[in-house]
Amino acid sequence: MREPASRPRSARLFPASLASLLGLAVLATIALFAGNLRLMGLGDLARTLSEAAFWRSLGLSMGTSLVTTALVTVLGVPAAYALSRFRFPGHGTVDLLLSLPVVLPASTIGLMLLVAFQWEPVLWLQEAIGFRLAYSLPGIVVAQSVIALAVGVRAWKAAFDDVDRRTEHVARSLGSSRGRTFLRVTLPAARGGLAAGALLAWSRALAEFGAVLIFCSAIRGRTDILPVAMFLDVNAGDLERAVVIGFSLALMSVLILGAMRLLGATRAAR
Amino acid sequence: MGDRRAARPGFGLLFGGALALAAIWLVFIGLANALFLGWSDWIHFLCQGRTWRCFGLSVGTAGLATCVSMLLAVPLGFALSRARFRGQWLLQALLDLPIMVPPAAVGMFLLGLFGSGPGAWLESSLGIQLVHALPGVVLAQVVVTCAFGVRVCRAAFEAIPPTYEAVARSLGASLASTFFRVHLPLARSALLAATCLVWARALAEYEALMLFVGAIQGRTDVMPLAVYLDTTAGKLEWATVFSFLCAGLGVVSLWAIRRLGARRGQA
Repeated sequence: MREPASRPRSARLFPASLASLLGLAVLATIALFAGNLRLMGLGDLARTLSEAAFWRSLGLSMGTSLVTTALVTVLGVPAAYALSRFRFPGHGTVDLLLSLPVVLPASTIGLMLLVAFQWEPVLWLQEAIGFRLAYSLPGIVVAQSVIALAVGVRAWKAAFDDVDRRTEHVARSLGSSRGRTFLRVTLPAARGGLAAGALLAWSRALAEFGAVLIFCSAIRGRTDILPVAMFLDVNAGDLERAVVIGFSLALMSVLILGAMRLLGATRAAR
Repeated sequence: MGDRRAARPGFGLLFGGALALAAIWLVFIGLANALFLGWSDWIHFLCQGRTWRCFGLSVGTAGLATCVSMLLAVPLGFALSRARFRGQWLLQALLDLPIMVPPAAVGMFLLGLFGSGPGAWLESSLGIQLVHALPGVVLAQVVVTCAFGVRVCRAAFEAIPPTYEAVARSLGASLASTFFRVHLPLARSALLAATCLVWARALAEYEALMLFVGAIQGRTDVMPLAVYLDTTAGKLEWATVFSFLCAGLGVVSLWAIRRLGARRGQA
């Protein structure tokens, strides 16, 4: 390229090795996905897609993850705003606590929920309401919401941090109340980032498997959201069906996160 | 002015209340678990050899996976931050796939890939067993964390102003010596933060392991899998000890990342 003529070969070695490493990484990634295509014949695809059980699992996954996303958004967006703007003692601790689930193994989250919801006072409370959270459909939502909330709050806090404070100060100096400033200035300015955060939370809720497996167990026909159904298939030795489910999960995540990237890209371009 | 002040408590209460609710929910889960365990159980299980064997296995496999991941991620991140070619977005999207796809699906794909053909070949010719064995644990951790490391490293290198590189190159430094003498020192703290992040992620990996290697007592029982094994065996107390150890390591790594000044919004 633009190398001085004095050291032609050794100077080329470094870029060449970088390029070949890049090529190897790309090949390995392609192999990971393409290698599984050979397991999935058209017959398996047709068989799985014509099963009612597959579509019920898909509906269950969609339903629970959307409910989770809605709950997490309602709680998480105001919480993220408070975390971004308010200063109070213990701010750092609260921030750390809210992002802790991101670095916790999903099995740990599931177990902690299981233990917490069989604690005497909580058990008594559940008896009073009349239903148990563990091993039930609402339990799936609770298990998904822990990680989705942590991921969402981080993204939403970053979105609020990116909003220029001066616009808020101007609105306030012109006599707008704090609530009105939030609704008319901050919220529209952070719109793209907030939507991207909600999509991210949705993708994590959809992908959640470990916590559901422990908190709600893997019960065919009851708690078998797509990842759980995939796990059951692998254990039953039906690898072909599991691959079909794996690819449909991958496709959904890529679509959701692709939409998130596009939102982020348009925001950056503006 | 009076109007504005009157609206203030309601506003703060609403938003602060949401934050307090989220924090209380997590504190409640932690507290219920701490009360469930009690001091005597803590001491009893911390004196067990198995607790520390699983702890060491977790820290060790995650450490090994972090070394491999970062050795790949640093040059890859550098290459992606400097190279400009047509179709680069496609290549980057491809390399991002392992973090976009749910970890459980990644574990499934690893099983599909290594469960039969290539895996059998590796085992017969090299004697490396992946499924149901420790090398598989490390491989799954690397696959899940490497793409993530590449992203963070690329961001770290892109944050360095191109002027430094231009100056070094104009003075006759090769790309290699620019990388080692200019980029690496400038990106040091960001790369250290990335290493902590990758390590924390590798340590917390569970879903891909569950599908790829499976939980086997005494063989693949890193802490997240030990939690699963103990829970299904009804040993909830021991599983709780493991989950507190995981939480402790998570707090330490988050704290270290914060101290190193990681760029916000990543993790």
